[in-house]
Amino acid sequence: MSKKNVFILLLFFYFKGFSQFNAIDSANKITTLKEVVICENETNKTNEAFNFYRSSKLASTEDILQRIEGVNLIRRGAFGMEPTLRTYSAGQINITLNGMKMYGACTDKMDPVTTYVEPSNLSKLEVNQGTAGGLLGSTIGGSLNIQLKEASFNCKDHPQINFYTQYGFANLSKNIGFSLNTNSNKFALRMSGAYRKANDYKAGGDITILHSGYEKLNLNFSVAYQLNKTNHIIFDYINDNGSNIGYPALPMDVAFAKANIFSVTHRFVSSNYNKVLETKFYHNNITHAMDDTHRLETIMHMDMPSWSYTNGFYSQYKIQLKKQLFNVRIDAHQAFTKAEMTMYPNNEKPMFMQTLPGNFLYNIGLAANYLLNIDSLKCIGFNIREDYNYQYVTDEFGVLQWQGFGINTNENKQNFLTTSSLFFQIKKGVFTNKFTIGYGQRLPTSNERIGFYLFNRADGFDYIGNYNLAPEKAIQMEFSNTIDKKKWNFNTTLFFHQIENYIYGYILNKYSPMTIGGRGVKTYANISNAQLMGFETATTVKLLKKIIYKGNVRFTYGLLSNGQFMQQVPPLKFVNTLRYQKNTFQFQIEHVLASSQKNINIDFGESKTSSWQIFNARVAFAKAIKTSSFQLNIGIENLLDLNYREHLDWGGVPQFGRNVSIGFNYYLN
Amino acid sequence: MKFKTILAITFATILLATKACKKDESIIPTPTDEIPSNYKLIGETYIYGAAAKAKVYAEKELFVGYNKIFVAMYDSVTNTRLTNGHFDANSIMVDMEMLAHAAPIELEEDTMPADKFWKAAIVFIMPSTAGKWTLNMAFHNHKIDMEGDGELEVSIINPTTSVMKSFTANDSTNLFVSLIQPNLPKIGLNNFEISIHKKDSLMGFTAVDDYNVEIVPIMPSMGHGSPNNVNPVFTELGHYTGLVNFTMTGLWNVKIIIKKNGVIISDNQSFDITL
Repeated sequence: MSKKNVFILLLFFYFKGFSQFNAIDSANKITTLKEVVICENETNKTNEAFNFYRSSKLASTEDILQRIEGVNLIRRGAFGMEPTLRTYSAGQINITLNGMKMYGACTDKMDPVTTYVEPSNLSKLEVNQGTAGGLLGSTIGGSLNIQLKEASFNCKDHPQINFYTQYGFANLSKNIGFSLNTNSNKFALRMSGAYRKANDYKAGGDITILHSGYEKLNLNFSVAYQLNKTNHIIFDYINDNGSNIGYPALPMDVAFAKANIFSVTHRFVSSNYNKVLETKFYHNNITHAMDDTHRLETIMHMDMPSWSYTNGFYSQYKIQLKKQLFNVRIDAHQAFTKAEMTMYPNNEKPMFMQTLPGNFLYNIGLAANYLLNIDSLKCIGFNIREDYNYQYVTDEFGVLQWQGFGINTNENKQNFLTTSSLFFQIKKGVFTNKFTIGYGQRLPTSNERIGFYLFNRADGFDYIGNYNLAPEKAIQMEFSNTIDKKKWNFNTTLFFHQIENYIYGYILNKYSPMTIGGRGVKTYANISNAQLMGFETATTVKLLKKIIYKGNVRFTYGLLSNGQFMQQVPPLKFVNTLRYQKNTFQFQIEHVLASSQKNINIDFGESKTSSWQIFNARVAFAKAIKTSSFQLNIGIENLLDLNYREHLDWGGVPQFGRNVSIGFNYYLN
Repeated sequence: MKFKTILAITFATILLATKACKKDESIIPTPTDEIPSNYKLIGETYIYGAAAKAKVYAEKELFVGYNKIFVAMYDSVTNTRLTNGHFDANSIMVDMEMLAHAAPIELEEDTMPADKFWKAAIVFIMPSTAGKWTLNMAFHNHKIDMEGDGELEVSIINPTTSVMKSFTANDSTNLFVSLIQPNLPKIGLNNFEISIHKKDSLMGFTAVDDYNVEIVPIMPSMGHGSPNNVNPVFTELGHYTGLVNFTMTGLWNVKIIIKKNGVIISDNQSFDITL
């Protein structure tokens, strides 16, 4: 009750506060991409340390992600959180790494692509909500492109080095890493390594969350060769090795997750920077193995390995004219995914099946986007993408499994998909209004099509795929208003999505679950429609010369045509940050508040979540001596040691309790 | 340049042609007995009076359950294969107490089998450890229009996994249910075939054709079943054929429920099938 009052009070002040400001004209800002630039320049480290979104080096990629508006995380443990964009997840969104397609190998979504990168290598995160994210792949939910740092050319005659170490107390986590960049006239080289190891973490109230530790080693290697002033060839390699990763919300952990990511890029940048042609060939592979040997509740031991291989290329040409920006892209990829399960009963032959029959997916897509500044106040833009997809099961064993259900998965599935959006932006005084409409389609995932008795811990059902699923499609409308003044700005975005052929799990009667203790079997079906709507706000206020307030609010509401609420919809959430910064000292206090969520989907096994609020504090000092600089960061998250869970946390597993972290950084610039 | 290419192609063609010729030669079969390689010789006996010798084959060692046998007949003088005749057989076991039992048998009525094998299927109901089994064969040799019979002692083993169930049903009939298919079980859908015979007397069996059969496959170590099974329906000669769906490898237990006029007469028999 009292929490609710506090909440309403806060909401009141939030809006009341802004109504008193006057409108002042400010520069026109075209934001086609909600781009969060984390750090582009490795030499400028002092600023980076104080970056809003990377206040602690201990932060994982996910920690940074969840501070971006419209992004939420589905959490199954302290590692491998799955990003969602306005509740869209998995196949509904399009996650790319340096523009490359990559498919997590795990059928239980333990390894979203974001787990294979280290935050210290992030260059920027490009988040596009809804069909506006269509440039990199067909989507209805949006796109998230993770740009990593690459070897860079500069005029320095010595290498640039960064070394960091971090320690976290809630899970006794250690995190050490380095990066090095060096270059000659023709060659540039960047290397980095990061090692993290964490024990089981403690939730609020000193409760140890078993099976939540992890270990991971990440190595990056990038070489750039300058053919001439305008042409570069860049070779990138990432090796990521995770082991003994705990997933307290799931019945199994991960023994290992190994990823190798290779790419060769040719980049042409015209001498006046207005034309860029980038072509990349890539290959990535993941080997993943689940592990039940640490779980006492395991009735029968099983091996669950899975694999993912992707080969592809893209070529993208961008031309910027005086008032126009034109982007055209062609890309294609071939992906092979497969998952198996072997169970070992006593004195019997092992039991085996392919939980994801070995299958190939071929995709080719053609995309374009265009932006025109009609005049200094008006701007229009559109993007369109066409995709052709082709998928079939190649493994005979898997084909036979599915023949048992009367489905010929050897016969290929072909789909043509369209993703498009159109926006118009107009500025009047301090107000900038943007209207966007979009239409998108997305391909059913391999899990949804051919998954074979995949256990879902959320609802306790085994899921079998539906080979004949139609692509989900969505019509989207969005309105965004920004008030931009000298001392503050305030942005509100309202959106409404009508989704058709919404892919939803429903119960198959008379089917017995494969999983011991499973509640039944479900499959996927297209249900006629669903609606998703909500709003986001972002506020920045310069309170005093050295104090900045940043806040954002997000809310989503989803309804299905069967009368149920959409699953995994986060409740209303506020993030308020107050920062004091003076020279090389910074202090920041963060307040995160979420309302309760009662709009739950019972079919999916969701339970209601109560409201909660936590406080985080961070302080950072920096000292520069000649070309070197040192930094010390101290952070305390969940100051009051609250035991709470976010609505998207699976299995009722509470979040981290009070966590003190200390970090040290050294840079040679 | 062009000439060289042509020359190379010519040579290649000649080379391939010679190879092909050689291959052809080796393919030409030498006149053999035409016994399929998967047939195993069970035994042989003269058919006295028909001037014939019978060689009995089966796909594996004879066992308790439904066995298919293949009989090749030879002219006992010239040792050439006979192709035309009328074949009959039965099988008798004399047990420890010197009581004689027969076995359910199916005979293929074909006087000129295309593959030159006369065929029969026998449900051996006990192993040789319980008594002495003989296979009695009669043959009318159409080549010389003479007939006679012969006797062959056969050894019947108990298979490691039972493929024949003999039991007394709820209505007091003695039933013999034999698993015929799947023979080599695989993942997914498999033909499921059983035969049901009723014992009328020690020497007499009837193939039952008016039962309703249901199957329930279960993985006993996990307790789950599988969907999309098709209950066996009567085809002929006491055979019931349906489909069983194995969703994973390992040990499956297929429960057989037998109904007569809608009333369950047996629901506690099952076959273990490992794949």
